[in-house]
Amino acid sequence: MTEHSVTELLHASPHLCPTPLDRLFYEGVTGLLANADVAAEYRLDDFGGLAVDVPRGAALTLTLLEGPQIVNAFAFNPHDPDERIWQQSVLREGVFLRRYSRVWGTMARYRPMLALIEDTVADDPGLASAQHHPYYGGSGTPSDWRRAGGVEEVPSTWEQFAALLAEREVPAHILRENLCLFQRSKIDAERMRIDILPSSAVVGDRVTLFAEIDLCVLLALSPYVDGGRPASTPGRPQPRAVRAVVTSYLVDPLPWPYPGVDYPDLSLYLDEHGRRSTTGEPTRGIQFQVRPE
Amino acid sequence: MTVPAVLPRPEYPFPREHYDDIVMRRESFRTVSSLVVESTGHGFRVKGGQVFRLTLETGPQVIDLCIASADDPHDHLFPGTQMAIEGGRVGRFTRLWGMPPRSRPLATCVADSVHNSPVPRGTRDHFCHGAHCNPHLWQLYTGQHPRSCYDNLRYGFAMLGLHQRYIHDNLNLFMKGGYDPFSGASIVDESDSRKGDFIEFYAEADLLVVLSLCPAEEPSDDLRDAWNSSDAVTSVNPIRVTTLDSGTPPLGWPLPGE
Repeated sequence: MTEHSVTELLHASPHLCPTPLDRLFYEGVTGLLANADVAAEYRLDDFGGLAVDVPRGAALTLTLLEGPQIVNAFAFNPHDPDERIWQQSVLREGVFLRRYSRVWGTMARYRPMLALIEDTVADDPGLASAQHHPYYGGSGTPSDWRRAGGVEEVPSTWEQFAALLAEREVPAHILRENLCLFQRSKIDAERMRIDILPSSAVVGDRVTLFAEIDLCVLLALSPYVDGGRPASTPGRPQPRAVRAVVTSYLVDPLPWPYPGVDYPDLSLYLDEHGRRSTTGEPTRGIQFQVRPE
Repeated sequence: MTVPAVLPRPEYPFPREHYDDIVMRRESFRTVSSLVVESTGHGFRVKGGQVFRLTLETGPQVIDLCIASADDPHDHLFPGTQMAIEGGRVGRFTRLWGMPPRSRPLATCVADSVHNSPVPRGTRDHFCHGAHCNPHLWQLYTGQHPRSCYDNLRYGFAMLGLHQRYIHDNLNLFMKGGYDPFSGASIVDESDSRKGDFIEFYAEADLLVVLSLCPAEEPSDDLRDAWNSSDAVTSVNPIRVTTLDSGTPPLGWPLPGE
C-alpha cells in the first residue's frame, strides 16, 4: 500500500505527522485524466461563488481562462457537513499544497477528503520560498476586506461561501478555513505569518483535485484577484474567469484506513447514524484529575 | 531580482494605553479561583474583564487551548484569521481573534514569562496553529489510544455542557512551534519554558475556556519520538489555572469611537 513502512516514514518525512502515501496510485489517477469524460462544466467569472458536487472517485479541474486569479476552495461531505476539510492537514502535508498533497477531514473519521493530483503552476526559481496553493484563507473575512478598504458591494470570500452554504441549509459555522488555489505566498519567519504575493500563474494553468469521498466543493474568486490588488485599490475589482470541470468517475479511491495502518475505535465518537455524536459526554474510559484549592 | 510587494493587510487599532494599564496593575488583581489540573482536560468560564493565568506547576507542558464566546460557542478562536492578523506567534499584547461575522478579539495576552532563546528555525513558544493530537495519530504512531488532546478537549467541553462538535482549532501554548519557510512543514523545537512559567489572557467578553494537557508532554526536536515513548502516554506535568479579577471592563468591539 505504501512504498515505505510507517516506521521508515517517521524518520524520513519532513512533516510533523507523516502519513503513508501510495504515490503510484495517485500517479495512476493522474494518468487517467487525459481520457476522462466531462460530467459537468462551469464558468466562474464573478463574485458570488459556485457550489460543485464532485462524486467519490471523480476529479475537479480548475483552469485559469484570463490570467492569474486566486480561487478559494472549501469542501465538505454533503451527506454529513460536520465532516469538512481540516487545517490539521498542515501537520501531515505542510502549508503548501503540492502534487499528491492530501487534504484531510475533521474528526472523527479524519480521513483524506481530496488529493491534489495535477498542478501546472510554475514557482519562480528566483524566489524559492514563495510557493503556490497555501492551505490558509484567513484574509477572506468581511472584516478584513472592508477594513482594508474593500468596496462594500463586493462580497468577501467568507460571505460568498456562507451564501452558498445557506442555499444548502448548511450553517456557516462550519467555515473555518479554506484552500487558496493559485495564490502565491511566502512565510514571514519573523512573525510566522503567511504573506500573499502576486501569483505567478498564467492563462491555462490548472489544478486538479481528486475526490476521495463524495464532496461538495465551494469555490469563490478572491476580490484580491491575483494577490497583487490591495483592497484599497479604487474601483470594483475585476475577477478573472475560471473554468471548473468535473470528470466522470475515474477510479475507486484507496480504502481507508489503509491496510496495515491501525485505526481507533470510532464507536467512541460516532452515533448510531455514523455521525459525530452530539451528546455532551466525554470519551468512554478517559479519566481526569483536578485538585481544587 | 526585485522581490514583489506583499499584499497589505488591514490595520486593526490597538488601544495600547488600556492594556498598559491592565499590565501595570497585574499584581493587584483579586484572585477569584485557583486549581491544579493534573491530567487530561478541563473547562471553565471566565467573565469579561477577568484574567486567566496558566502556570506550569512542575515543568514544561504543552497546553492546547480552546476559547469560545460564552453567549455563542460558535464564535470561537479562528486560527486562520489569527495567522492573517497577528501571525502565528502569541505573546504579550497578542489578541486572539474570533470567527466571522463578528471577527472580534476574544482575549488578549497580557503576560508571558517564557524567555525564548532564538533558534535558527525561528520557532518560539506559544503558536496559534497545529490543532490537537487525536486518536488517529496516536494509533498510527504508537499503536495505542491514550487520552489524546481531542479526548481531553471533549472532556473539557462536556464539563461546560457542550458536545465534541464544539471542539475547534486551538492555541498550542508552551510549544515552540512554527513553519519551515521553504518546505512549509510544521516544525517544533524543545520548549524554553520552565517550572513556574505562566501566560495570562484578559477576557474581552464572557468566555468558555477549555484546555488539554497534551500527552506528548514536553515537545522535542522530533515530536514523534516523544509519542513513541511509553512514559509520554501516561505522564504529563500539572498546571495551575488561576482566574483573577482585573477590575477593568472590556472596551467592547468595535472599539469606542470607531
